[in-house]
Amino acid sequence: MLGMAIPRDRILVAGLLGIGGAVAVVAGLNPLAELWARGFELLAGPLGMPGGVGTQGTSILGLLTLQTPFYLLEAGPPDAAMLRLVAVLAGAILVATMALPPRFVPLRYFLRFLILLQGISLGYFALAPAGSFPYTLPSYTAGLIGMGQVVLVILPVILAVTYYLFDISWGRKLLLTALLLGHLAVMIPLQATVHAWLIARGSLLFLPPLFLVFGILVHVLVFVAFYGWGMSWPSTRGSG
Amino acid sequence: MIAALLVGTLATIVAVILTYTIRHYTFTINRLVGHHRQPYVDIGVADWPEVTVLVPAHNEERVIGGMLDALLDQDYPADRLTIVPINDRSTDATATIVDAYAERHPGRIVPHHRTNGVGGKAAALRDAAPRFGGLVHLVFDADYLPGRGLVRQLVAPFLDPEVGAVMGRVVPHNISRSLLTRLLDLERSGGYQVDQQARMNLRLVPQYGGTVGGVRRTAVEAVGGWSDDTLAEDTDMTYRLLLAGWEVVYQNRSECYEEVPENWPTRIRQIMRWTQGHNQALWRHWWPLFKRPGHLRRGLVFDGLLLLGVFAVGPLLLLGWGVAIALFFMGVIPLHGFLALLGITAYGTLGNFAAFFEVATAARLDGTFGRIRLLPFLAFGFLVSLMSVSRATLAQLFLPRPRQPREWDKTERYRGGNGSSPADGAKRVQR
Repeated sequence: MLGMAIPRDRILVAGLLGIGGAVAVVAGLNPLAELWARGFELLAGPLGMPGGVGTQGTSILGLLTLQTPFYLLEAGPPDAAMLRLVAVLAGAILVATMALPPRFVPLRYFLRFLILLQGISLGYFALAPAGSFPYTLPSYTAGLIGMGQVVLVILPVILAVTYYLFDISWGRKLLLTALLLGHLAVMIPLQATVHAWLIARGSLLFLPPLFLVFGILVHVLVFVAFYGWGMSWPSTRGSG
Repeated sequence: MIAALLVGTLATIVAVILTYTIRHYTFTINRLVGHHRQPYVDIGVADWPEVTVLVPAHNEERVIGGMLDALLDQDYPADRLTIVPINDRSTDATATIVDAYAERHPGRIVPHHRTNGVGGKAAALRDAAPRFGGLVHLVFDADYLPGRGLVRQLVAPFLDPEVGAVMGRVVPHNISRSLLTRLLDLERSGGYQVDQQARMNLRLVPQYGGTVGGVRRTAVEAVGGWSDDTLAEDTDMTYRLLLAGWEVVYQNRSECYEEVPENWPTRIRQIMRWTQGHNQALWRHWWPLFKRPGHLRRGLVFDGLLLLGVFAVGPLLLLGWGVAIALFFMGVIPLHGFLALLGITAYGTLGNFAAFFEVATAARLDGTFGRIRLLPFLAFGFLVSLMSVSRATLAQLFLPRPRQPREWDKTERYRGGNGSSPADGAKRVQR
């Protein structure tokens, strides 16, 4: 068995496509941000999230100002009833995990990890002084969208190193890249919308687990799923 | 003050994790574009030395017959191959089966029955190995199924007088039994096809894994024989040989089929046993290795230390998560600013992706592409491994009486029921 003999021209093309793709994504981020902002405005009404949409400009090394849309929505700390309700629900789920059969061990671990995070959040809001929580819903959604934008930019570079080097046709490689970027371009604002809705309705109590478990980790898993699919495609030599 | 302390702790942990991440990428890229080093694979004709094959067995009535049949079928010169099933106080029919084989094949199969002393595989090897000669002692677990040319392939590297141990590749054969077995098949591919072979390519530290491999008898004697006070006699032997100046070799083409755990509780027990054994080796060997004996290159020592610490990364990662969560609630983790977002995102994506890249690359090098679609499910396996490794490490650190390998702690066997056939794993066609 040998390592892969990768032709130099494939390495060169991969590098150029990776860098070129990242530059193209950077160039397309502000128009995309405008689309996302319009989408937020469209969704805000039906979802009962009044307050409008804001835009934050972030300078990238003084070369470009990246626009990041976010929900202008207020969310407060949980009241005592919410704390009690979530504590009871978390306890119930914890008990339920004990009844899960052995084949669901990974799910058991995941749920317990989630409950641990929610429990820490409960403890924080129950004990910390009022107003000490360092994040607001607008700053949170802006951060989440900003991270999504960074993911979109670095994806072509990651694919150049980890995918374009393989002997899969360039058509398929470009298709996977387009599908992945397209999927994330739709998912990122929807993810921020779901997070914003949950936090606005349920309070800041849910922000920590949403960020720590359903934030960038979801992006990574989506990327891994597409990547695994793309890596399962046949080689140009027809083996496999 | 507290925030600064936490930031320092997190930065240290991130630095360690980044080191392992870079190591993952280095190994994977090496397998993609680097020189593939397999210096002994084409040796077909030689003055083959005398070899003893040791098969430690405790209650292995379901599998020991298949193992002995496979060893009897080897294309190695029969007069130079002694097969030694080590029956360690089995209470099932293992002893009867072994004795029946010995009766049918006098001189070729020489059973060694243990009835007392410390239990466990390491103790069985320590007890039996000095009683048998030969240049090479190969070791197989009883549930393995060596192909016809495997003994010859594993012995070939020992023609090089600098080689002290050889490790072959382990391939699961019960792949189709459950999601877990499929995930373990992917993990094994990454571990052998990329990790072990890259370490071989880069002249680092391929690990002797205790089965599907062997040791030079005189080298083992020179370093004091097998240890019977460890749960990972294989890792222990790897480092003792390394420190004594012997080379450990990995043979990627020398494949042998094994049963992997088919359910999560069995898998968790296996991980916890490996963790505690590996951590014992870490405790024993990190300082002698760190001092770097003159014959060891710096790169080799560095890789050796990283390999020793691989099971300590689990609890370290958990600690890192704990610190990161604390900093998040304190507002120290920024959710604004380009560089902050870039740093967090790049670490979150590139760092988490390294292991997936390694596994997918291994599967493609193996020439079996369809199974790569299961890649995202590996996250479940990683989560279970992380928790199990951390539990085992914490138990080792804080329980008053560390577990001693006084008894066998085996992985459950499935063959003999309606398990899959070795051909299942043999479908892995290599290029």
